[in-house]
Amino acid sequence: MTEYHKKLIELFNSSANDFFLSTGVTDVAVASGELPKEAVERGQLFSSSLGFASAKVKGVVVITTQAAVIDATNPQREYIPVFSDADRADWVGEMANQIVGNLKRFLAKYKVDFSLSTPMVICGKDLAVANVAKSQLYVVEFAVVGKKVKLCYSAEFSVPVDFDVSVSAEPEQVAGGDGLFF
Amino acid sequence: MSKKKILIVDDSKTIRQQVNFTLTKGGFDVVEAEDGKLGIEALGQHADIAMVISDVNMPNMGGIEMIEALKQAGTHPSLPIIMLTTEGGAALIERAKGAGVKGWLVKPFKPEQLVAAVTKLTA
Repeated sequence: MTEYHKKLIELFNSSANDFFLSTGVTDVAVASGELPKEAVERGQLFSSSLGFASAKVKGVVVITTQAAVIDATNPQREYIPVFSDADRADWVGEMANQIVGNLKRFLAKYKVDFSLSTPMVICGKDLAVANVAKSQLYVVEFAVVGKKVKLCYSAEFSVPVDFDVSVSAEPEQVAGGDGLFF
Repeated sequence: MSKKKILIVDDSKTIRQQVNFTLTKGGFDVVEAEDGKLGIEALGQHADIAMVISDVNMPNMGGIEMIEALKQAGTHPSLPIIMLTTEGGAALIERAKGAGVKGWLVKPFKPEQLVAAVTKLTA
C-alpha cells in the first residue's frame, strides 16, 4: 500500500469515525487493509452504497452492518422503541450520506470537490462482498457498540492530490453541526 | 394563537422524523415531503407554511433545484428557507444564497440550533 493510499484511508477513517462519534456512541474501534477477494458477512445485514464524482475524483463508499449498530446510532433511538427494517434501511443510507459528506469536507482542504449521489440500500442474509471491480477497493472494519461495521471504498483521482500541502478550508466551508445564516 | 407550520423536505425518513420531533417539541407544526417535487406540491396544498427546511441531495428533484423552481415561479417570494444537508462546500452555498436561501445547517444538526433558527426566521 502506497503512502498516498494510506493518507486516503486515514481520511476515510476520520470521516467514518467522526460520524459514529457524532451519533453519541463512544465505543468505536478501527482496523483497515485491502479487501479480500471475497468476504462473506453472516447474519441479517444492511448495506448502503453511495457514489461521488467530479472532474478530479470518482469513487464509491459501501457500508455493511447489522441492525444493532444501525439502531444504536439512530438519532431517534430514545423515542422509537423498536425500529423496522425499513427504518434501518433508511438510516444506513443516511449513514453513507453523512460519512461521504465528512469526506467531502476533509478533501476540500486539498482543493478536491465532488458531487454525491443519493444512497442505494440493500438488505439480506449472508452478504458476500466481492472485490471484482477494476479499481482497488479498500476496507475498514469498525467495531461500534461491539458489532462490526464494514466500510469498503474506492477513490480514483484523475489528477494526483498533494496530501502534504493542505490549503485551509474556505471561510464558507461548514462543518458538521455548524451553520451559516445570511 | 396557532402554531407556525414548517415544511421539512428530506428523502431520509429518519431525518424527517428527527426534525419533526425537534420542531414539534419546540412549538411548531410540521409537514413532511420526500423530495423537491413533493415539497413544491406541499407548498401548494398548505398555504400557511411559514418556513421550509430542505436537504440538498434527493431523488427526483434536489433542494436547490426546488428553491430555484420556486424563485422562478415567483409564488413564495418571502418564504424563509434553510438548507439542512451533509454538504458544506462554498460553491453550493453561494448557489443557494443566490436563490434566496437564508441559512445553511450541516448534518448532524443540533436540535437547539434548529429551533433557534426556525424561531428567528419565522418571527
